[in-house]
Amino acid sequence: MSARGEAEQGSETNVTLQTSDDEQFKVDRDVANRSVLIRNMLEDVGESEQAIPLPNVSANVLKKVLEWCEHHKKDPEPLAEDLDDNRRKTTEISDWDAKFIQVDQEMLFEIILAANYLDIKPLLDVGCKTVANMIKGKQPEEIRKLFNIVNDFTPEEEAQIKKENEWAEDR
Amino acid sequence: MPATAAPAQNAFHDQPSLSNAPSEEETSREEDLLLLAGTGPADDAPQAPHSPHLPPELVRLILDHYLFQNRHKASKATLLASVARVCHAWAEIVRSHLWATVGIPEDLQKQEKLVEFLNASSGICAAVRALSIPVSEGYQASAAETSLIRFIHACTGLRELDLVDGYGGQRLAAVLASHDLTSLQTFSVRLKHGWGVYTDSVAVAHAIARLAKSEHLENVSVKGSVRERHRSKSVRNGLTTFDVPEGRLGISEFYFSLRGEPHGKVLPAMTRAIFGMLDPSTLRHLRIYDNKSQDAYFAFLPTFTQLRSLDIMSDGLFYLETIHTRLMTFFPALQQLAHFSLTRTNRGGSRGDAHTYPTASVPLSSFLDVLPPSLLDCRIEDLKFATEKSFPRLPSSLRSTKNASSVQVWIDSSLSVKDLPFLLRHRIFRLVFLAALSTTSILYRLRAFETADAAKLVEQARP
Repeated sequence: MSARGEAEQGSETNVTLQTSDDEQFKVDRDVANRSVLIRNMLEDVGESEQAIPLPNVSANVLKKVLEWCEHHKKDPEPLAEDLDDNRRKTTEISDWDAKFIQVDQEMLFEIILAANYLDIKPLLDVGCKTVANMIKGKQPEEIRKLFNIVNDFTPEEEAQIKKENEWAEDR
Repeated sequence: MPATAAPAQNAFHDQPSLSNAPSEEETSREEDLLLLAGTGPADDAPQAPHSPHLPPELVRLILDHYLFQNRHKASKATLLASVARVCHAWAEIVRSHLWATVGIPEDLQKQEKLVEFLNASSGICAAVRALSIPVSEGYQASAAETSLIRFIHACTGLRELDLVDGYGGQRLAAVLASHDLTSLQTFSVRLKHGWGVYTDSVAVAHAIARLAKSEHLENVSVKGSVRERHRSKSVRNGLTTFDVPEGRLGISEFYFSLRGEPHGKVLPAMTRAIFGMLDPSTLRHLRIYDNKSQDAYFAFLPTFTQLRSLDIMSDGLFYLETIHTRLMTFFPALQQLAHFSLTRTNRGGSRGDAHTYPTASVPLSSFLDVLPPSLLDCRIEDLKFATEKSFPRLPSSLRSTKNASSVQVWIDSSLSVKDLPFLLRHRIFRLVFLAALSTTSILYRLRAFETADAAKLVEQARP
């Protein structure tokens, strides 16, 4: 197995992460700590040389996620009250994040899934905001294509949904 | 790079051999890590990379962002019109956005149309979490009422129910009597029109009693006003006592804000009926606003021994007795109380006989003596405490505050300048004053004090 690292500055500050395709990444603990999942695992299990398994993240996605974590490693921790509605209020995506997230759609969705699994809420927000921008102004068929979704409505059901929306509009 | 890209959980299971088996401790840690990493059965394995499928909770999050980003551009319904027609799963998410809170209109025709439509859409019923219903004259039309009750029945995920009473409040009970409301967490009644007559009040009490069966109910509030019609039959016939319905409300929070005539009969009777239903073993937070029937609820306060917070705000408080006397009636029983506030409002600025400021001086030390040891913050407005001679027991009384690192009491009260030497002598080091210049003198109002002795005494009290 190969071991790659963004920052290799002594094992005591480094953490080894093992991806679903058995690649290992040695990263600075500050970088790894951007993930609440990894931080909790490290706190629960304690100091060890053993690699932390991340069975839901592949190497190419983790590499990208770690790039984000490295850039944001000095960001303040989001406050508890910012974790819900308030964090949505910062609608703008920073220039760096906007450039970072300019990836193909498959990778974008993989980053979102990884951020969700690793519990990196700011990265999850960047991904979700990007996808939200993609939805704007699109027709149902275009959204289906975008998300690779099959239309499972009968014409009657679709008409009912339209009606429900009209009622919601009129209320 | 590994030769194969096998899922990690399989890779780990394939690894161990006798020759390089990890120690027991390492194995245990490895298992812990896999468990913490959320490794599950094969079904939980990540999606194939070529078809990443976002789970509903992430679609929901994306739509949250989408709605927020475009909130000024169009209504929710307009923004979600296309999204709702993508597939069944997305339609459910959109419903939870659009129909989580439903307010039934008061207008009877609109009401009938909406309820008829809602009853025809099972998907909407499942999405409704909060429902507001005007229980007005319109519901005396039985067809509309039946239809509405059918709708409530269908709302199996209902968490919050808000009944806005108008006229003919007995319908409140009718609505609740028809439904178990087992999922309900929050229930509120608003006597909106100020015409809550005796029969309405009985209905409110009975409606609340119906909720005793709701296992998840946490929060109940009764708001509004009760106006007595002295010429109404019920009052003339002396029907002013309530039969307290059976069943106790095992809730943790209760908010009671009901205006009415302090010397009337309906408000005190209703207060007694509703407070009598509260289960003292579960009640933790109690807020009483605007209720002038103090004797009715003060009688219950000593029974609520599990209270953690108590807020009382009312106009015309304490015109019968001093605050001190009032506090003495329930403070000794509330040994879990951490937060207490008692505020006298001054609606309309009236200071007539019915709204007299307390005139009897209350020794501050005497007040501190009755503070429950669990109390962490306390705010009392209008407490007028006495002069120097009343203070001598101040430090020893603070000895009871074992759980607090310091004691801070907020008091909005008059303070004589000759009190100051005493305060200083007892190391009451933080005083906050408001000063105002009147035509004849400078008026000082003491707003707060904090004593250094508290921390010292608490330290001494620790084993």
